[in-house]
Amino acid sequence: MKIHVLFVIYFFSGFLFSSAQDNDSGRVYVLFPQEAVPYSFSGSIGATTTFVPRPIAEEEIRQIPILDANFRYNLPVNFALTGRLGSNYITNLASIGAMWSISYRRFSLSFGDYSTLWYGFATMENSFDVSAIGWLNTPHVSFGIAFDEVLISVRGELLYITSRSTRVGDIEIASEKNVVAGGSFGIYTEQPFFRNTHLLLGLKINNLSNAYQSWLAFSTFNDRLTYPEFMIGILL
Amino acid sequence: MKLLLLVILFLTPQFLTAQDTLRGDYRVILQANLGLSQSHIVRTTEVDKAEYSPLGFLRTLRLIWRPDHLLGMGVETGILRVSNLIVKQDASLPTGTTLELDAIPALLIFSMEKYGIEITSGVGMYNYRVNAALNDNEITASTQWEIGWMLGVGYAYPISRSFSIGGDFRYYAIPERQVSLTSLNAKVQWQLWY
Amino acid sequence: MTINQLRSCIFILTILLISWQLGACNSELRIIVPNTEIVAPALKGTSAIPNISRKLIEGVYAVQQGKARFGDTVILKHDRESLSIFCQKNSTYMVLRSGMKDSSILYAGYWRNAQSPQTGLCTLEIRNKDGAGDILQTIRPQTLTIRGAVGGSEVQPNEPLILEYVRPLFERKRERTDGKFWIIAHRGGGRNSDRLPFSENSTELIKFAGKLGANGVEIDIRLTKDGIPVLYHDENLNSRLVDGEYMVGAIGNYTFAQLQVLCRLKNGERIPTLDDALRTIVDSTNLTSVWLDIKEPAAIEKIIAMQKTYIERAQLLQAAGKRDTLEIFSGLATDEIYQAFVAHPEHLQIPSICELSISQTQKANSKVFAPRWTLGSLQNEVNSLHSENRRAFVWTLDQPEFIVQFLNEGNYDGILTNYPTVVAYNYYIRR
Repeated sequence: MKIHVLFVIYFFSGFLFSSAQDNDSGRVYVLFPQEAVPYSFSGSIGATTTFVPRPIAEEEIRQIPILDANFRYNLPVNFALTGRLGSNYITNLASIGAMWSISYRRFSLSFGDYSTLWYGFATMENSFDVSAIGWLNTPHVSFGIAFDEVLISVRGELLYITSRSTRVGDIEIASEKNVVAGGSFGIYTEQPFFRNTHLLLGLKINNLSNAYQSWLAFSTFNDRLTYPEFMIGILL
Repeated sequence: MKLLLLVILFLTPQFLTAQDTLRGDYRVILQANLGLSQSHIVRTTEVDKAEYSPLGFLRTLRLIWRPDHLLGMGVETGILRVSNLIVKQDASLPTGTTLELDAIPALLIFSMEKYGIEITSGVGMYNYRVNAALNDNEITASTQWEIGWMLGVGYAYPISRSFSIGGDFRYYAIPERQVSLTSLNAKVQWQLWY
Repeated sequence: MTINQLRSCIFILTILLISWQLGACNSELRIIVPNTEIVAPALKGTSAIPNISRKLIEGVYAVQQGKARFGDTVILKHDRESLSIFCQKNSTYMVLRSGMKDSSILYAGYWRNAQSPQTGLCTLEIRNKDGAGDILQTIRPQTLTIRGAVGGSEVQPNEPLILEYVRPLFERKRERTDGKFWIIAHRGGGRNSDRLPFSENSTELIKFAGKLGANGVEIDIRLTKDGIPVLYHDENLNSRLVDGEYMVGAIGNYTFAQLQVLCRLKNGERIPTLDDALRTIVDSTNLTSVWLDIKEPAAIEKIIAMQKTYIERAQLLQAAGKRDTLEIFSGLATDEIYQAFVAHPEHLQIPSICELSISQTQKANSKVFAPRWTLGSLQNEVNSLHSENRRAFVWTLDQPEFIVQFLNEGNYDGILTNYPTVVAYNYYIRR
């Protein structure tokens, strides 16, 4: 209880003494692991596409990009709250997490964790409904180098499935709890693009079993597969 | 090979003097490339005697929008010869059967350029196509779209305000087909708008 | 500033190359079968066990030692010379070659989990005093104990496994459907993603299906450019199913001769013709039903002709006592296929499986109605079909808990599955 109170005080105290402002270096970033001015906000909107491996996707699954938005709200002592919202109608997700950063000259390092709630639903050809819901927990570590205005981050993530359930109509056909689904390695650049816009580009290599990206494949085989994910976004 | 290229690229800026490039809101660049490529392919076709060539010409066009910062964005298409097989003798296939494998990229590319040195990364689809011509003139042409990407590094030297010439090294990958291509190209670059 | 920008380019390039390298680990699936050569010497110098003795070994066994890996009970069932063991735990099964020597019965092979990459080697023995002596004299022994060892996939197995005979296998008794229950293996035995030792829709996998506990197979039929029905599931030639660098696009764009030369299934087999597959089933397996999943209406005519030929051939062999009865069904999965089938003048006499509706099942005089499993047990509908002397198969049931539920609560005559080993365990364990 005390911890919660302290957290709330810590969270809101900044509003009393400072207002949101741009970070001092003129850099704009949402994923880059450098700390930023407390109580400032940054975000991105864009799209992410995952290519699910053919062996499990077969011919029936078509990849539809997820339109998504990333958020970051910077807090004192190098902390930040992070979040993501994404949807391609069939699959929807919301993440919230926190990270802590440390920087030395152009180098930055951050440690963080986020939780994702995802939900998928679809009506199949033969007019039956399928749905899936899951909680993921993702600890991550990022390393960044700033080349002036070009910010490059490398991020390693571990994906832990807190719970997952797949249903056909009202019948639960598959579920699992508390398993490590695998990990991923990503590279992201955040840099100026046209006039005052900044662009986020990312490539992520996943090595995962049963991630939300492939829930429609209904894989019954428990093994990890490698597949890439591309990300593009405009920084806010 | 890749490592050597990286070392050279790391050292190059030390010998260059900074020069201001023309700065406007944006530039639009058209690039034409002609090169020689070698495919790296998992070969599974067993023909008794055949003439096989992983070499081919690469012809591509790029249209790149370069705003006032480092990053540019564009599209790339062209024709990549993946491989060519001519059957000389086989129990099951007529002599003279030719099998040609090509890929037509349709890629969204991101490119960063400084001092004429350009790195490009692209992702998109390849229209993968085979032409199988049997000697009795029966031709099978079949195509399929495949996901893939590319990576390139090159250099362009300006010969006028609008034109540059140069060359580049590229790597194209179509993982679904277990195919990749490396190529060396000459390029001509024309600034359409600046 | 500008030097920094160039450095950033180079840094990105380096990282991209590393990522490319990581991403290049493609998601090709490899088969999961350990090298059984390690345990093969156990069968050196053995001879074949007589069929009648093999029958005496089949049954439900209690696991005395090895419960952690295999659960409390297992099912032992032979398919020709090989023994299969279907386990309670983790969808595990074993496939073992057999032989007899000096009044002992010996087995060597492998175990694996049907739904994960775990696998390893196994050797078993029935000693003379443990019951082998009686069995080889075709006497049912008072007690029957099988001893052996299991282990990892690279070394001689050393974890003890002891099985004790409990009771015979469950057999369904119902006059209407010859008392049979059909365990039908999807795509000839399972999908490529299940990492079986042979490719899906290959004759090799069809021959293996019996070892997985199946007594029927479902196979997918498409036409080549020159109109030959072949076994192939997807519309396109792709890396999931074939190797062949010149194989691009729809399978229907290629002649059969081109496919034979330029293309191999994922584990090296050739794409079989329907003719090859049916001949293999009739002549080289004990399978009793074949479900032809017709993917193209244009194939109906040729398929029906082949169905008739091979039904006759199987009947001749059956009359000569060389094989069990065999049923070959045209599968009517879509309205298009259904329309093409009922347009055939002989459709009322041709055995078929209708997946669409009960009224269409009746109209096409299909012997079997096959609903998707998510429609539930359909008790009333199934009972009414039984009263019309029709059967009901449910597809495609893969989750072990639902397999148990459908076996216990449903009244279906067969289950189409990617995991026949799981269905076999849960079917034969019943009382």
